[in-house]
Amino acid sequence: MSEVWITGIGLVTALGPDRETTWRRLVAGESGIGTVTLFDTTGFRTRIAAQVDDARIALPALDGPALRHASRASRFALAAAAEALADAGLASGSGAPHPWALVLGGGTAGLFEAEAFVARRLAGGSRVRGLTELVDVPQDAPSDRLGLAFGLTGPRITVTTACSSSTIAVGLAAEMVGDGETPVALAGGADALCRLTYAGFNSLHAVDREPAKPYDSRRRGLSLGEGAAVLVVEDAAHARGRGAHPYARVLGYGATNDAFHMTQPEPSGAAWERTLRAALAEAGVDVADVDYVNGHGTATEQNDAAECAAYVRVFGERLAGVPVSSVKGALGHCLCAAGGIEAAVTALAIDRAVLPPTAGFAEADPACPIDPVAGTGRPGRVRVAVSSSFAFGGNSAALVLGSAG
Amino acid sequence: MSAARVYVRAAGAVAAAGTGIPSLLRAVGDPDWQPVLGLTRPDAPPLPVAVCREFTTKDIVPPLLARRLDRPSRLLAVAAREALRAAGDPLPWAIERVGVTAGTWNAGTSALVEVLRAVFLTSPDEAPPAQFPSTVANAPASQLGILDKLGGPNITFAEKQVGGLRAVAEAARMLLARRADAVAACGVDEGDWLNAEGYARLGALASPGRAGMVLGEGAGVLVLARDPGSGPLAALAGWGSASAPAPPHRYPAEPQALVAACAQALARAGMAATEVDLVVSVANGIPALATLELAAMDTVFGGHRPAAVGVADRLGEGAAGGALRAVIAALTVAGAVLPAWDCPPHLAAAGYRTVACRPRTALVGGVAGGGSAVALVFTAA
Repeated sequence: MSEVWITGIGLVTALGPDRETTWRRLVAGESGIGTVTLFDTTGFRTRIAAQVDDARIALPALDGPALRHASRASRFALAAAAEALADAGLASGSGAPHPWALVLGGGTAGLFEAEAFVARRLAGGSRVRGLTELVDVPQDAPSDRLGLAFGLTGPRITVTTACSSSTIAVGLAAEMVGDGETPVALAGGADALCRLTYAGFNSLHAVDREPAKPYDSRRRGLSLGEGAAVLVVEDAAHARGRGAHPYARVLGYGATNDAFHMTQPEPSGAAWERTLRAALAEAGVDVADVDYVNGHGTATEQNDAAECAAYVRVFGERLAGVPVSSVKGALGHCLCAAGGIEAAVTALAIDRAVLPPTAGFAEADPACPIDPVAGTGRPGRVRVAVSSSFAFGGNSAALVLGSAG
Repeated sequence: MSAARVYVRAAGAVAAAGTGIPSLLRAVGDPDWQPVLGLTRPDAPPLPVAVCREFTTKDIVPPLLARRLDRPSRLLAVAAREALRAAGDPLPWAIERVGVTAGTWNAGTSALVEVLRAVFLTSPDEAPPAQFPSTVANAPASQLGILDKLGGPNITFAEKQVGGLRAVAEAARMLLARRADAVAACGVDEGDWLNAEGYARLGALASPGRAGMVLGEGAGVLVLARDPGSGPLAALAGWGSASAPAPPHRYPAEPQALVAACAQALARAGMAATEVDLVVSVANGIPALATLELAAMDTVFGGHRPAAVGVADRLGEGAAGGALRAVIAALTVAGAVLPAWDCPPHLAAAGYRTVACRPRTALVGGVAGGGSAVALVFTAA
């Protein structure tokens, strides 16, 4: 397998419509969680989420078809991809096709827009008010729009394993690049808030009325979020040949299933441990080499407990000295986009030697003996980092990233 | 491209033809077999979906367990149980090394409609917590993992019509990367009125006097492994994928993506196009796709004219339909059936022919709305 770099990053989050705004506010310890204005939250247990400010998204100068009838999720993906390609120095205005792969985590896609039609239909109506209510419903619609916008002709894969979707997408993209299937792959994910997920997580009592507090002993649940991340995953020789800057190197990834329960993680952390060890083994690095863990950290009682149990199994007594943080206290749980966003943040942490903090964290949980990064960003050199995700259905996935220097 | 291949160790199916591989083979071998079409919906006439009317979980999934599963999860559980039992009972692999790849077009849709029904018609706090986990598209694959304690990677792909073919191709990648020792590669779709109605409104479904798709319901499963075992059904010798820019609800105007996917699959198999005996056609009733397929086949095959069989017009289009096409291809090269269904008219007019003798190699391609294409090559083992 050849060496694989991350050479471009695009982000759309509740903290900002781009990579630099998101990073600056994230390391400053700010939170993007606030009152939901996208839809009426009357009757829900919670009223908050990490909502993207649509008005600030800089959509690229694309031709009509890619944007026509595009959902919010697709617009997030398009903006993130345009930023990532420009960042990598691969922006194309020529319209020429690119034989690159695209691997995205697909989530709610156009469901927010379709909900208006569903509401009318369930109430006995039948009118469709424009194609925007229909065409982006398939979960791969954002992938299709990226292919259309940027003339991508390589394999186009949409992974949908709920909250680990885009972690797997980045891992799969790195595998394709490493195997020589494509010199460049765009990878990541996009997801948008909608009434379905808001109602669903409320019904499960999995959400906190206050902003989420990952790894904190006072945690009461997650805060939902939305956004997109697109990473340019590139063969290192290809990138060197054109003088591209590497944020980080993709060293390996792993994925397993705990075969336990649709919504609850296996509490011992044994399956999650298998995932972490598989990723580290593929990366060829020892547990002792890990300088930072960007955790899943949803702030639900059970998830954080199982995650910490897995870290205890992997890192043992050394865990107390391993810096761990979750961006979900600031960006909310962006579901199918979460893993991509976290991979991007992990790559930025490696590149900039700053560990992002866990917004909302204040009181350590004795059952989670990590070195919590709290308050604001912590300076620190990162040679090897792990980005870890877990999802409905027991799917865990982990990426191991390293310094490309 | 390497000639590394993986082997089809077993198959399972639930389709409009019935529950189980024997039902599927009986239908495929009967030139007159036709599905019963018709998906009911509220306040409107039925839609053209080949539904699984005779589907049952009896004797396969315990009743209490089956009651907890949504319909796509039940469809997949039954098809996968058939395939996994045929692969060995107990399985000849450590279960934590058995993975699942699944493709779906619409799994989760019926559950999400039920959650939204409560939200919109009653109250947000009436959203049923038991239904919500079934709204994720990976629910069928995850439930399969839970039911059979399969601990390998469990990945679902959403790629509309080619999801099932993608699942088979990615299973091969997973095996060759040694992330698993065996993989249940699946496609699953349910008959759901919301998606079907959406495509009807886009003018994509068949209706009296109008050519169009018949959607499908069901599940197809292939158990794949690196190790051929003592008697594999077939070899998955090659796979490839590419894409062409197109809006999500349209097929690409040009055939290049399907051509590239087929060319990659043949190259990986180390085969020339002239060695292909059977094409399991992508034809689904939409004229634009027929035109695209014909152009692609002309480029791939030149003057070669293998046999061709249409499947999607009988079992329905979708991710499940793609997986079922792969199942039929594998079973055909294994000699388990001689497909008696027609060569699609657009291919027959170009010199392709109905299957007359046992093929040894089969090419299965697909193109999704939006332009993603996947192709698989099966050979006799």
